[in-house]
Amino acid sequence: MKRITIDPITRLEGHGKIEIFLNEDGEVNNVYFQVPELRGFEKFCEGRPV
Amino acid sequence: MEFKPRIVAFLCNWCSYTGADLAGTSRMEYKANVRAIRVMCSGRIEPTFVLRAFVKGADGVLVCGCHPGDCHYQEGNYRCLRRFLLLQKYVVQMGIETERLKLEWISASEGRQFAELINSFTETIANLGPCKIKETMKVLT
Amino acid sequence: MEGPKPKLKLAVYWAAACGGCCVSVLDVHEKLFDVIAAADFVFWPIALDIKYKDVEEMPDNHIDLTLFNGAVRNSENEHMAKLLRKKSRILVAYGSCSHLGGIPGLANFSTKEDIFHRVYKECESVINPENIRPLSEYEVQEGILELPVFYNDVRSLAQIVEVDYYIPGCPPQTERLIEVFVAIVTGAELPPKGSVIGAETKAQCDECIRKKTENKRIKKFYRPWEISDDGETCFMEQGVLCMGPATRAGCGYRCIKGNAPCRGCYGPSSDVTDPGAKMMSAIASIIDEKEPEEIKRVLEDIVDPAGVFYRFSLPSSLIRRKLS
Repeated sequence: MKRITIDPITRLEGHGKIEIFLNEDGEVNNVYFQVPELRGFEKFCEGRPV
Repeated sequence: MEFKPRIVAFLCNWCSYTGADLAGTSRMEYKANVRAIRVMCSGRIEPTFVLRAFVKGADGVLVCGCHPGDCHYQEGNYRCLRRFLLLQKYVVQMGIETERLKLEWISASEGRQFAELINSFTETIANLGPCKIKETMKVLT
Repeated sequence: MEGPKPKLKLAVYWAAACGGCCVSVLDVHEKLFDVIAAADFVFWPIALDIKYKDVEEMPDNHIDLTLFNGAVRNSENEHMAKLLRKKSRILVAYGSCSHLGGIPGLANFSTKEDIFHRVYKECESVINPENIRPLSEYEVQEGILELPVFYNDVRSLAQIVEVDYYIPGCPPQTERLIEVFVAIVTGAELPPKGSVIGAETKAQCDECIRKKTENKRIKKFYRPWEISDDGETCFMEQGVLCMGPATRAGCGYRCIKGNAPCRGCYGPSSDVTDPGAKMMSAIASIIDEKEPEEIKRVLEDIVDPAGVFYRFSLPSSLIRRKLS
């Protein structure tokens, strides 16, 4: 099984990683998209005056 | 090993340092955990001093100055008071217990009050335990 | 006869960032033609399709100038900071996040656990009954997938690697970036390593044209929307908190030109260890009350001192995170 990693994805805003798994015939078997970033705005904005 | 509190006390030259000195010359006993730092006026004490003291390992910080109205430089102690109250809000937000930072007015003749202040503050800090700041400052992961 | 000067190799990278700094670089607009006449971009995720493995394969010091923006939040940010340090001759901490920690630095009020709980469980728009959390390693049938490790602390760039220069701002003013770029291209003498460049040395108040008097006396603090700003008088004198006194000049006081008080994104002026503490000192000095109860009443309007005074600089302040 061949694995192709696209890291980072580019020409857009944000971070991302794509892992592609090919079978023996070279066809795409499965693809995973991962987001390797989190900053936590949902938490640290709490209690801050607007 | 029993926890020995480390206390930094910022004392103004004209009143509180002289008061501390009086406690000494009168041979009043008080706990030895305090390191006194003399400034000319409590108005010189800025939040950076207090914060740096905590970061460097103080478990408690005392700020002392002349009684309101008696400042050698007229209004310096009022500045100190205002800074202290704002700093207190900040320190609490950062998770440092409010009891670790204390402001008290000590005049040049109040040697006994100074000794009592040190003793009671040291006991308060001893009960609170060491300030967790040094461990917190180390960590990356 | 000398051949043409070799083009500078530039890189721009974002760690825990919002993209604003990259936009501030793009904001050179048509001057981009002058930039690329003198330089080639060799790594810039927002604009070019160059991958991490391409950077890994570069020789050391291959890149002449890297503008690193974004704070260091996780192991990937840390890895890229160290990698780009190796591959760059000059590494610049570009923007508030890499300079001081920036807005993402406010996460230092929380722990990793609190943040994950809020984001992946409690958040109002999240449905996650199985309590799935991101893991740094996860086994799928094809192999192991990896994600960066989320650190408990946010760090500025200088807390991870040695930084050559800092260009402050959220984002930095594009005109100042152009000045820096021109200086590098023309081979002008650069200031000592570790300097803040692309900014002034004095405080905002020095540049700001709002009318100031010697008489700053505050009896009450107002939020900007609570007053009728006359557009001319110093914000502080109108009772609105403005971080100008503790903030480095150089942005052209652009927020104040937009009738909003300064928030301090340029960081401290030279030689100040902890800008928030200096600002607290300054604010407290101008409160016009003497009785403790009255002072407390005035201070009640500052509901979030740590967030206001350290909005951009929490990770690089003296107490860089909330104690757990």
